[in-house]
Amino acid sequence: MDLPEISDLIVQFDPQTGQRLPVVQAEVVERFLSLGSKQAARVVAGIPSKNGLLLEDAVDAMLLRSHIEMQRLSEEFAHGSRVREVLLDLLAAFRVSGIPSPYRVVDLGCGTGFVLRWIAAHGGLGDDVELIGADFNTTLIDAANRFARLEQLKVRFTAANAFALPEAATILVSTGVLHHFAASSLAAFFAEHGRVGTLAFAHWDFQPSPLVPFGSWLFHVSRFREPLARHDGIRSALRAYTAQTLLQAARDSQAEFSLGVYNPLLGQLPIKRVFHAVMGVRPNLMPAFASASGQRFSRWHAWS
Amino acid sequence: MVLNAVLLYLLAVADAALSGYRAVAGTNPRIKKRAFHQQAIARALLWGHVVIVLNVLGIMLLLWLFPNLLQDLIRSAQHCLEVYLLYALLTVLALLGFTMPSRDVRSISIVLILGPFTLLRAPVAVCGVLWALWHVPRAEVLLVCGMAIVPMLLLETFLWRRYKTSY
Ligand SMILES: C[S@@+](CC[C@H](N)C(=O)[O-])C[C@H]1O[C@@H](n2cnc3c(N)ncnc32)[C@H](O)[C@@H]1O
Repeated sequence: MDLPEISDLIVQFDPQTGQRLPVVQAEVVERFLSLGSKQAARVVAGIPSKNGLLLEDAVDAMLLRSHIEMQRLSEEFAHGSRVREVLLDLLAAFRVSGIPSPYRVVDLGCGTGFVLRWIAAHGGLGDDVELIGADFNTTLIDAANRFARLEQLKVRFTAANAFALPEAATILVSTGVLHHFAASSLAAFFAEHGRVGTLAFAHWDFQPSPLVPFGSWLFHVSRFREPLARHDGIRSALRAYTAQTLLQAARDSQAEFSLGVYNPLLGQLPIKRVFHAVMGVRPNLMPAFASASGQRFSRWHAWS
Repeated sequence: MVLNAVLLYLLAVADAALSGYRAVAGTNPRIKKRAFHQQAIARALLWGHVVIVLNVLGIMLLLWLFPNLLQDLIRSAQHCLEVYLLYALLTVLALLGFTMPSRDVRSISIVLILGPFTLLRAPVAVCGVLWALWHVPRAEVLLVCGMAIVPMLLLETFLWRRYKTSY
């Protein structure tokens, strides 16, 4: 976390109880100034506070606006349909392998839950599939549940820490979350997958590349209005992990998965994708997954 | 002359529609929101037409004050169009990319064209005016161009402030 995002510092939770902790405005401003991030310091200094503590309502409103703006990124990159395609292949593999249903798909760090709401709205996964979004930010979870109700979507959202999952999950997915974790805790994150009986996982995040600083700046400046969303979006892309780091962390976790990376290039073009994904499937399910994905399987690389 | 006026009108309408879309983009968390976007575009078209009508009235007033202005306006419109049509053509190509079935083609057209082009819109609008003034250096031409592009450039922000979504 050498380059923290604003959203990492303006909300703090007790990792044990999940209780929200008060945040001292001056400390966060000072931290950003000491890191040379004047823009972030300005944004935090502008948040209303009382007795030196950031006002939770103001922080939540800002976070919510930013997450709704961020949804645009997923919409424009058709991320819902990308995740759904992988889930369909995995579920098909489970069914032919005789894995008993129901299957539970959990989206970790779901924010306002775009991915699962998109999948619930477009359907097709089967009635034996339960969709659950988990995030440790209760404000975002409340909003995600409210948004799901607005469109009568069959998905639920619950407050949970990705490092201490309270429920079992058949498939774990996430989007734009891995870069929030310190490199030293990535292995613990993957180890958690082994603990809750997960059969497969797929985590999408920004892919580092030399073009990232400029591309990410361009995208966020042209698309986003909210200063927090602009700042954090640009910073997320800068702190993203390479596929090698993610694969190594997954291996270090000792959880038994065959590991792969989603095609880092755009088709045959020498252009790096904005998002890459690291995926794990229980070794005994790999043949079924390969056959269920058909041609799409060739998009996954570096299986080990 | 008529063709150029029609082309400028169509460009203004298209620009207003896209401003309407951008004004509400990223403000509605729903998944299915086609009707929401259509409404936003309809509102922008309405306001865009208000701007167009005010411009026509303004031009009529100037023509009444300066009867020899017409020929200069016709020439300057021609030069504005040389810049705007090129920009519009590239934007249409990018929008075509966005309608392709391939998710990757759609993503590339967003990252490489639509994003940068949104940022270039204001500079391009100004370049069109400068190009026209280069050929027809006249204060009234600048006034007419300013009356047209300033409100068009402010339309998105105006609509965004006016129609914030509640959720
Ligand atoms: C950049 S947002 C991505 C949100 C969403 N997945 C999306 O694509 O829009 C990262 C999310 O991860 C959540 N998060 C970070 N650390 C977490 C943890 N340890 N447990 C659960 N959620 C976490 C944050 O609250 C935030 O909502």
